Amino acid sequence: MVLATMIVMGMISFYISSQSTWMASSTQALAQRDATLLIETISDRVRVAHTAQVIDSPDSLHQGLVLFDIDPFTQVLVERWRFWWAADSLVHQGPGLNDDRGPAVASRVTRFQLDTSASLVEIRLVELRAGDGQLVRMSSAAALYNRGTQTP
Amino acid sequence: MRTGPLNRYGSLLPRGERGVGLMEVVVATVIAVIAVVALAYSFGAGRGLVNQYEVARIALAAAQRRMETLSTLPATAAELQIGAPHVGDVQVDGRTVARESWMVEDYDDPADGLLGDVDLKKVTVTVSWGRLSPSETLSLTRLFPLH
Repeated sequence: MVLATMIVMGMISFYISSQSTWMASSTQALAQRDATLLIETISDRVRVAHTAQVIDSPDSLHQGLVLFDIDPFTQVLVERWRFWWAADSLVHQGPGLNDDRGPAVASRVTRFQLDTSASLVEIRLVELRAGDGQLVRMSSAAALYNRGTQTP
Repeated sequence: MRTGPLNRYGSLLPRGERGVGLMEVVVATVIAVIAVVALAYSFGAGRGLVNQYEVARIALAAAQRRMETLSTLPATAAELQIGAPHVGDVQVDGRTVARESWMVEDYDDPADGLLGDVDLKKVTVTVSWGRLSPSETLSLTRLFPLH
């Protein structure tokens, strides 16, 4: 009886442990995919933009990126797209603050730090929190290829 | 008339020989242990692959960052000079996670019909991590203007 109880307890603990490992791996993989997707989404938008501006949203650990293009008729810079860290810990995107198209990825972003120069946007750090609390960090950069020869 | 379980020859078993044999218990235990160990190994291996691909994703993003950064530099920049490979660390949030290098080579564009002339620069960015084995290395290549 004691032996049978020990065996059953061992099987239950193994089951719980394996389920925990399985869930941790799955949520970690999801967060990694979201980090890659977020960087690719930002890069795709940056590459077709003319100018970029980094804003604090609301602080230097949680920033935003405003992308501009030159209007072909007026020849002035107009905002085309923006990414910003919102109060729900998600990075939202849209043509403007008043036109929120929703979060770029579903994972919570704990840090979103960017930098920009005349021709490059550096995604210094994208830090996502996986479902089990682990952090996924990634960084990259994208060039502003739509600068052309005109400057306003 | 006595009734009860029979042995392999059809006669009744004595009361003391009822139940599961020791050999059956041993075999069942060995099979169960093998199954559990294999299952545990598969979970561990899966977790290991997830961790490995985390670094692979970081490495791909780092290679793209290097390539994009190089694409913004003038052709005369030191980073785009043909010759010895340039090397450096890949850091994320101040932590070194991989090694990167990039090589700039002459490239003869076959489209112009002239053999042996240099038309472009071929830049190959390589990022390695872990044990720096071929399965832990990735490369991106892009052609840059010569001038």
